[in-house]
Amino acid sequence: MPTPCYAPTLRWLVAFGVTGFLILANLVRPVQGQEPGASAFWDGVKSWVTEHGQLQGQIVGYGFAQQPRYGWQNPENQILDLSTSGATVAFRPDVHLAYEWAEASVRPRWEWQYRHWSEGEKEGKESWDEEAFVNEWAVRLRPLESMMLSYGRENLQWGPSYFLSPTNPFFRDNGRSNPKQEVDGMDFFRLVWTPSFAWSFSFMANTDEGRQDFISPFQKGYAIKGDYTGHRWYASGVFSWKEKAEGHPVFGGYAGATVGEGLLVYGESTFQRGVTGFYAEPQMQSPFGLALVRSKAKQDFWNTTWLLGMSYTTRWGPTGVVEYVYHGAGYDEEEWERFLTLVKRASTSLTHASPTENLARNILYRSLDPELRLLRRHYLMLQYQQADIYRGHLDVVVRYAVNLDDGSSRINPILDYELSDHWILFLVGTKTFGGAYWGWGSRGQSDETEFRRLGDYSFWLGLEYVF
Amino acid sequence: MCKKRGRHGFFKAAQWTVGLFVVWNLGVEGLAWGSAMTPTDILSRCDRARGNLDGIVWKLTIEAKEGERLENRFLEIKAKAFDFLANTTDPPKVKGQKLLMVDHNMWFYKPGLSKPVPISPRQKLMGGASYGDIAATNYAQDYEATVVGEESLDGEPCDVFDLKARHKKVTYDRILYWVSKERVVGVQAHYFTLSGKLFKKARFEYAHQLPTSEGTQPFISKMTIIEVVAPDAVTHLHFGQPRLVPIPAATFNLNLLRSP
Repeated sequence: MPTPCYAPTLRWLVAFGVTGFLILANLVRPVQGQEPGASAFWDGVKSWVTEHGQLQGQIVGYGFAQQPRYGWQNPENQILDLSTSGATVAFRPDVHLAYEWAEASVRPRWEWQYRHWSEGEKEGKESWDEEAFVNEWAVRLRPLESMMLSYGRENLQWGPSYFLSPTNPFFRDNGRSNPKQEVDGMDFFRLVWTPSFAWSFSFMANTDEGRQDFISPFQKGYAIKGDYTGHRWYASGVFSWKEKAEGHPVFGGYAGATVGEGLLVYGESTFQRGVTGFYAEPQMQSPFGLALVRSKAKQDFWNTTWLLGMSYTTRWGPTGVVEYVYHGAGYDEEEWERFLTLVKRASTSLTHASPTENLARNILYRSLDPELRLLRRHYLMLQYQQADIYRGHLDVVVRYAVNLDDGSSRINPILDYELSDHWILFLVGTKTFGGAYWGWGSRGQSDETEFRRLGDYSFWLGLEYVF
Repeated sequence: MCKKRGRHGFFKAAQWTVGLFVVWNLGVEGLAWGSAMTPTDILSRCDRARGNLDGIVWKLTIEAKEGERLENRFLEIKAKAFDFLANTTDPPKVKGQKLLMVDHNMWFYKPGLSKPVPISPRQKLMGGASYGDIAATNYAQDYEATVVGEESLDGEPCDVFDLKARHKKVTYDRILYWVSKERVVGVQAHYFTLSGKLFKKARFEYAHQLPTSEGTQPFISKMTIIEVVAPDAVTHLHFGQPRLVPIPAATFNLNLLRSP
């Protein structure tokens, strides 16, 4: 686990956010016996804040239990240091102020975490952590009615898909698998021009990694995005590049259509010459005979990723979603074999305390994030969702993703039960499958499958107070 | 001369008679539909009273009642023609949820989601109300209309229109639509499935008036929805007093839907 950040500036920002919260919550009142002028001043502040401010947020508390796998990529839990259970309480206010052509917002966060290890090297150990930070903030200005300029720490996401958003060059996690866990923000400058109801153009500059933590050094990135909305259809084009890129720029786009009253179809695709991700390649100098290198970054071939999806809502309420993904940058069978061979050699070296321990550790870290959106090439995702069931209290999403290359799969149930207007009971789970029993494409060992190599299950059960 | 005058007088009289007949007919018909109103024109007027206007803001309260259970939801709607942005303001469990419709494409966003998701108009909003129900109707373009009868609703004479979908992209395949002869607004609708089954009924009230270049026009104030499969479940949509305001295009920009 990364060490919590206690930077004083962040604490000040949190303090500022909480103070804003208190003001917005109308807790600031004129003191008894004050001058009428002062009372009028506070009344003015209150009415200004009420008119222009908005406060909402949650206090989330949950406990979790998970069963990690201590396989090749995480031998004896030395790399990921995964606990087996724990609890978190998080205070997440969102404060937003808008006045004529200016807007500002801040999302300060405070989290208290408890972790417990019931097996592995840390068996019987516990830890308590506290962290205060600002996950997102932004200032937006509108110099023209059709133009918006903004700077801040944001979570910028787009596209119609659930499984992944290939055209987004900044965020690989689209926050879908666990909506109770926030995606860490990064710093962006944005210019959005809306010349008409149909057209919109955006320029985005990713200036800092913000709350994200990458293994490779951060590189500034840029994207230009054009959006068109037609009658019952829409399409967007995205062109993105990195400042000091090892690879080439990426072209991409997505489109969707409302085909019938309950039927939506959509697709998303990217094209890039070469691939910037890491591949296990033979290397004589390496004690493992192989190394993870960006071997395809400068290759002159078009690498594509495309996603096709459709969703159908029945008249009775449930919605079904199907998405197929072809991920051209993913490992083919031969590349996957080499990747596993390298991981196994590094893992064996680490567990036998050899002189190559540090190198082995670095390889295993890198193997957990070889800078590919997915490890293999063909995927299928099925989703069932229904809101307002059981007397309007229960919302259910069940997502099932299958790696068609190795036969492993993952199921994510997400349940929200509304206890009252403020209280929500939730369950978010992940159960993975993979190994010898899972039929077509299935590999012999669970540790050799993408979805099951790191864990068997993880379940969060919690309570959310929304305000 | 006399003969001539006589013939002239006859034609004159005939012209007057025809003219009077036409004027009388126009007058009587005009009281109800206007002289040259086709079913499409009538539906266009009905559509305008359901929100098809240039820049309008109003508050919407949805009240869903099922047996003893009563649930409310409050939204603020910004609309222009058939496009709208609905922002849920209360209760807290749904506060900040947004629904955007641009040119019949719909997206839904709620706090906690990283990005808006595309949804179909059929997806349920609350109780018997679908997201499509808060959008302005475009029956004039989306449906082929035929008058199939007359009926009085609460003492108000109405013509009954049978609306059949011109294409498969509409929320309802077939609608029976009761249109007030005097006010030219839709006062009741029965919605049917593709197999011809009645599954939903709605009543409409128009207590609001909006200024237009030709005076004022009625504007929807209440919609009551009853699902046939659950007749004890009644959903009321109360539309607050509308305000005519200019709506910039950026309001409906999907890239700006998530608050900073």
